[in-house]
Amino acid sequence: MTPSTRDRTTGWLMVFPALTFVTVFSLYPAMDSFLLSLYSEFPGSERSFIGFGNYAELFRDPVAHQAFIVTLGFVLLSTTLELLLGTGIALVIHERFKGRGWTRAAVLIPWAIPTVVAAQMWRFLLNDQYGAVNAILFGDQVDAYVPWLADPWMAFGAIVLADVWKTSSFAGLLILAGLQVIPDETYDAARIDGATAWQRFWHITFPLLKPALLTALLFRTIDAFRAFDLVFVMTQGGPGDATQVIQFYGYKTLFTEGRVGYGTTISVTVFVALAILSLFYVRTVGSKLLQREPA
Amino acid sequence: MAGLVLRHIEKTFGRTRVLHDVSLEAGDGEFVVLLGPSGCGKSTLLRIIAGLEPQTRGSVNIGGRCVDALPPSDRDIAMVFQHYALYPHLTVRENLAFGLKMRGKPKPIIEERIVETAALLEIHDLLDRKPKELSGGQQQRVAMGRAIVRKPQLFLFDEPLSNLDARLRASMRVELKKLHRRLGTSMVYVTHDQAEAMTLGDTIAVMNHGRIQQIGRPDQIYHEPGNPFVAGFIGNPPMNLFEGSYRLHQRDLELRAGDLTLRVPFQAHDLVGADSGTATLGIRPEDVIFAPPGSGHVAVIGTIDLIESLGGDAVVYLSVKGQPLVARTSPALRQHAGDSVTAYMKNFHLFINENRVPLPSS
Repeated sequence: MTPSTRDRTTGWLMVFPALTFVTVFSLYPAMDSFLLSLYSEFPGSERSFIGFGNYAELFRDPVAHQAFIVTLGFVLLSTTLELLLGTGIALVIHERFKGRGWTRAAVLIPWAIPTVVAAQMWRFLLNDQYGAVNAILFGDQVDAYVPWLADPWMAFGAIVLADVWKTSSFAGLLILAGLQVIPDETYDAARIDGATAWQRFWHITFPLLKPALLTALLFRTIDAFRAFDLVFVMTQGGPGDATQVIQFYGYKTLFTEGRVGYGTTISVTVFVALAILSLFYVRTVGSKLLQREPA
Repeated sequence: MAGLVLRHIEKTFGRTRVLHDVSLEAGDGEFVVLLGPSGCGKSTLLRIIAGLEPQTRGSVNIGGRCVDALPPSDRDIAMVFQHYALYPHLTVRENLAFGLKMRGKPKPIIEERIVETAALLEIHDLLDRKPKELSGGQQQRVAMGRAIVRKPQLFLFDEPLSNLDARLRASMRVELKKLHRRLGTSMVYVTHDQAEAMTLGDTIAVMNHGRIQQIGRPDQIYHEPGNPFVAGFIGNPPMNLFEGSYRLHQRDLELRAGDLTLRVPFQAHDLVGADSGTATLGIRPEDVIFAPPGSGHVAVIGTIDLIESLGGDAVVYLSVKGQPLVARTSPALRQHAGDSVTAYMKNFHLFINENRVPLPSS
């Protein structure tokens, strides 16, 4: 064996476990899902090949359109709020003050709670009869109690609120990492150059934070697109279709209505959309990240 | 008019006092170097002058005006940092313009100053580049440009050359000296590198443990070090210092350091109260020679441990009765390691109670 073939063999042996893992648990399910989406299939009935029929149907399905709009609104609103709040959190926990360690830990608690638990908690808080929110706002005036999750807009607001509450600190953590690599000397230089606190934020912090903000944006958009558990626990997509995000619609079609082919089609579509989005991010943001000045 | 006056500056961080009663004056246009080992408080002192750090006690005057209550931006100073601290997202032109822009200077004036500064530092072809596209030396130039462009009353340098390689450092040193001559502005320069201090400074303030040890011209600091610390810190290789007990005789002083006894000519002096006590006797490596000289030298016999040839000269490490002695001499030395040799010494420095005591010139 020549050294280069031996190197090759070693190389393949080294990547074999990872490759097997990816093939069995990612590649195969993705491919199989795609194949499944080309069939019309119900449990207990014969599957029949219909080509891109499911996709054509999805394209015309008004419920799917509505779900896409809800998802888009959810992604835009929650991501924007999370980035704003995350920046605020990062700026606060970046400062030196007594008890900073504890504050940092406390800020991360919402993120550490499993989504299902957090969603259940919010459902309790917003309950129209015994919820803490109504009790705090209206006290004994039971007549004034608001059924938060029964109103289309407020229910939508509630899932956005729950998501923002839960993941702003994660965005904050990513942004904090970005803040920490900006050297103190840069701020000293700006102070000597006569920049005020606001000018230092706007001209130094903000532009140097862009890579971190973009990373946070990437993570948060992809996550928000996949939102499912919040909706599942808090609203079941209701009232009406007001909070029915696309992943939840897919789940409902597949598992409640038993339309295996069509449900899979929705999943595959989300998967492809996210893949395109990720690719776009990695191309634009990723290249900027790589260009980044080492501190 | 004095460029900078520091009066009784003290600084404590929590319970740690990092600066003790530091007073210093720099004349208009003077180049003052703060020299000391790391952790001696020199950078803290510079940050206090800049206003980046408040002093615990004492006052700072720049250009005849007390600036204690002023923020860094109103002190009419510019600072060059160790890691350059250029704004990485801005081009060189924008970096230079930043301070002027923050001060609301009109565009034509900013442009004019940039052109002027770029010409002075020969960085005009770098103006549209970002800092990461520049070499270390170029970044250093831009950092200086950013300071110069504002035409401040006082320049502060915080170890600005320490990130450059030795060759570039030497050439930047020369340029900095020229620049100072051309601008004629007061400069305070912090460094731990004695070569930089000796070549750049009109005045050197040697610091250690938060105190100024000695202020003087470079040649003064070198030839008349005020205490054993300064004596040992300045010079390469450092001065040989023998610590021991002394006894005064009629015309000389006898110092015993371990098994080694040295007798040096001495005349009575006010600073020496007692006829005996502890003292430190110093001798620079270049004042130790091996060829038999005329007269006035103190001779000792030692063994050569090691010879380091540096091309132009050689550093000889000896043991003299258990005491190390370093000599700098010509590389044409005939002896080798292990040989016994007679070393002749003159120009001793005597320190009693941490103070320099003049010796009669021999």
